[in-house]
Amino acid sequence: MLDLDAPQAHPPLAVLAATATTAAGRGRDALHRALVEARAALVPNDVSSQPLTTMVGEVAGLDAVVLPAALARLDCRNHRLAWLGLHGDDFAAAVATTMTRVGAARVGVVVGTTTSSIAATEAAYRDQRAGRALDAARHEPALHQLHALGLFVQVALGAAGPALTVSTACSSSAKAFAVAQRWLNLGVCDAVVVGGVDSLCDSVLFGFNALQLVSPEACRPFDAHRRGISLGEAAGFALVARAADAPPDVPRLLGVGESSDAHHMTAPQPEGASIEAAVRQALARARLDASDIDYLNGHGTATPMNDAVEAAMVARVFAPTLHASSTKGCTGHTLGAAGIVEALICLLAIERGFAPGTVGCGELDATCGPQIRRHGEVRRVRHAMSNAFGFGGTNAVLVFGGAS
Amino acid sequence: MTPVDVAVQGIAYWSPTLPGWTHARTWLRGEGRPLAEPAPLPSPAILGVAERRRAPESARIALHVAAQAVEAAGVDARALRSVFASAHGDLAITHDTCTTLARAPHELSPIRFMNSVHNAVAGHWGAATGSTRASTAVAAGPASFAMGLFEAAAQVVTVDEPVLLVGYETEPVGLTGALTGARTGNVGPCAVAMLLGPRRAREGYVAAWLRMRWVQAGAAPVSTSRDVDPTVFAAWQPLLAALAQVDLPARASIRAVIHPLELFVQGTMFS
Repeated sequence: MLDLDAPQAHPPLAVLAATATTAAGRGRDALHRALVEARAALVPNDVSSQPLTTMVGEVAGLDAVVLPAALARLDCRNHRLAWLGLHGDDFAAAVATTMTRVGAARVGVVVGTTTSSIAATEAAYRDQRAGRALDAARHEPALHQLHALGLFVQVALGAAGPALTVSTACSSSAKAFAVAQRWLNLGVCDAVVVGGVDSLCDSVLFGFNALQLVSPEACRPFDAHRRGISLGEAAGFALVARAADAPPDVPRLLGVGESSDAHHMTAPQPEGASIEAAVRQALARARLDASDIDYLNGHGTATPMNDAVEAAMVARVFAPTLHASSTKGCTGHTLGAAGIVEALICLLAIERGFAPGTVGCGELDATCGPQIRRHGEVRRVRHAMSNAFGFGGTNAVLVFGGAS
Repeated sequence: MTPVDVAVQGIAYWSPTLPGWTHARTWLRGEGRPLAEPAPLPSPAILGVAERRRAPESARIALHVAAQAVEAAGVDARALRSVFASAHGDLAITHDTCTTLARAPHELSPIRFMNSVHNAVAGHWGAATGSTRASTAVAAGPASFAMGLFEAAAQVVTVDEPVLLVGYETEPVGLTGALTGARTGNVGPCAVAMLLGPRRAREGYVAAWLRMRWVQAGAAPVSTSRDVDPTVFAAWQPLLAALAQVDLPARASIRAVIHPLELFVQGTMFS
């Protein structure tokens, strides 16, 4: 069943600022450079508490991050990563400027994450097992909850509007844009910080390993010989407002599509009907045709199943001239942050006229149509689409356009 | 902000000593008592026979109330978008996972990990009903249910269709009790479900009208102090108490506050 509710109920949003910190580096320029160079920013895992051989997208320097005193009680890897992310590309300053204009109570925060600060809970259990006295600092209840990230971002920015954490695995920070769209449309706030942060931790490393979804080597999205994902960590943020209230020279979020697979927790619905439905809903809400999309950033996790189903859907829905790729070979699969990171990659494609290739892909799988590209391409990108198809069958698709 | 108006089309509730909306409603009206002995966890028929026995506590209580609310409303589950809200998710699974990771991380069970993600319950609902409509899983600390309620209502007015809202919290196990500050008190594991529909609901039963306003304007950011997490179940009671009262005489509109929302509940006889 297609979910084609009225486009006018979902007016476009202006993207006033956007940034990301990933394994490729801090900020937009570092990410763009890594994609132009087609660099796999993956290293051997050294984050887990016990050895696990896998390649990961690790953000360097998190151990050296010192949070201000007001946030010390929420200190954990995920929040240090969030802190770095918030200060990339002067993002926090852009939020402060907007907050001065509209008031703190009119700035909302909606963030996506899969594991949030679970590493702090893991550490407390290790302390208990080792007979170490539980570190009182680790007992902060606000730290041991999924919404710790949303709370951290609110306090770090001084925002006092609505705050929500969306946790739908890999689609979390893509769905967060839809929440922001509803809040702005209802007039609950005038600007929303949309973000996503997920960090490498035992739960995620050993969990995906137990599911046998992790590649022993650097991941190869859409490759005929792909063997699974490479996990990554990242923090990404965007500041959005109603397009009607914003200057014309900023990019737009034009449409969001959402659906569910209703199939299986860890395998996609094989015919791709629900991911196609999400794509078509996003296009309908953006009032665009498939032929209007110049660049598609695929979910492209490099699992045998996702890439086959997604490639077949892309070949079915889009013209051969579409340039599609997965960038998870560069950053790793950043889970709850994938939505926002790959949204930023779409914005960069529009802004800089460069459609990235598929890092890590050597030989395209037979299911790929002409759209999926190994190499990057200099080309005008008027509209870009990002796919985020989450664990548990939760799908979100975003469509962005350039300044109007 | 214009107030958001929705219809409440179906309500369901479960806790060990108030194992159903009939029980809870009677108690909230001051007319009855909770059960002396806790009821066993429900085994929702909507899950397959094998699934319902091995499903975690969160899935059993959440899917049980979800199915009951949908049935009470008289709508088709497959057609529904859904919002699942929980502050802490399944704490027994968190305890199990962290215990295994501390002891022997390579022994972490794939099924346990799969059930540990916040949207696992939503995934079970989708697989059980076959619904391909959008579904989400959210949290907002002590305001988890309020924000889930607002999200569901926002979706109702945006898509002009009914949306299923489910709130649930589970019994803390092991260290998770002390770490999260979650207190279930004598309420135990708990779940509530509401089928929210457009103000002009076109199909199904309407139990009450609900208007919500945002009251947080000007509030300071939430503190990071060491306060114990307020009992999240207390957050549901004002709304449930209001819904329990709506058909009593001379009750035109009942006000309830679940921070950061101000709610007005009106019975259908006064519409």
